[in-house]
Amino acid sequence: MKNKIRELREQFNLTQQALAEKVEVSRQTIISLENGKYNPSIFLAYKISKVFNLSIEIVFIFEEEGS
Amino acid sequence: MSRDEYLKKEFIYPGIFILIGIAALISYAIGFEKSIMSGIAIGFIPTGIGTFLIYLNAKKHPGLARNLKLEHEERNIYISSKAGHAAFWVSYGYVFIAFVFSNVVNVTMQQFAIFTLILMPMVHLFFVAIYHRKY
Repeated sequence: MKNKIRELREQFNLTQQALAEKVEVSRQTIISLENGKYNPSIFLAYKISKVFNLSIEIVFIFEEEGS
Repeated sequence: MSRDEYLKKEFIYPGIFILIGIAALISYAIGFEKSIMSGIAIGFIPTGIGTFLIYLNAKKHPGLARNLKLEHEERNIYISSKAGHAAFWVSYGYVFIAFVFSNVVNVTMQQFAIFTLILMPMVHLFFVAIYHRKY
């Protein structure tokens, strides 16, 4: 699953630490999300989307297998 | 869950450790399995007291409390679960191999148990380290 976290975070002038504190995770989690290494739970995806005032499907791009 | 509620809940674990340590100390005092009980008491009491002091200190330092709470964030739980799953199968394989060679290798049950008790957490920590790099 791809995401636009880095792009949006930079648009909102947020550091990784600031975003991590807003969504109550570690900075390492934000780094992993931005690098596409870790897929968040629906709760974390919702929290992150809420920070950017966007819906989940805009922030996280779900790619179906084979597409 | 608020930070204070979280810390309050986490005080249960050092409490359990200290109680087990005290029970082992009492068993040692009355002469029941002295060598094992002294080992359990030496292991459990300092661990319990140390953990208790960390959480007590966290009440005064919000930064430390935040870091302690972050140990249970979803990525860490995910990594820990995956590591636990992998460690289970490695340990299962290890016990299976030990069973196959039980007639060849001459070790006592106590030696085998001690080695297993040391090996299993090490295998788990090994997988935690690997998955921390992966995810």
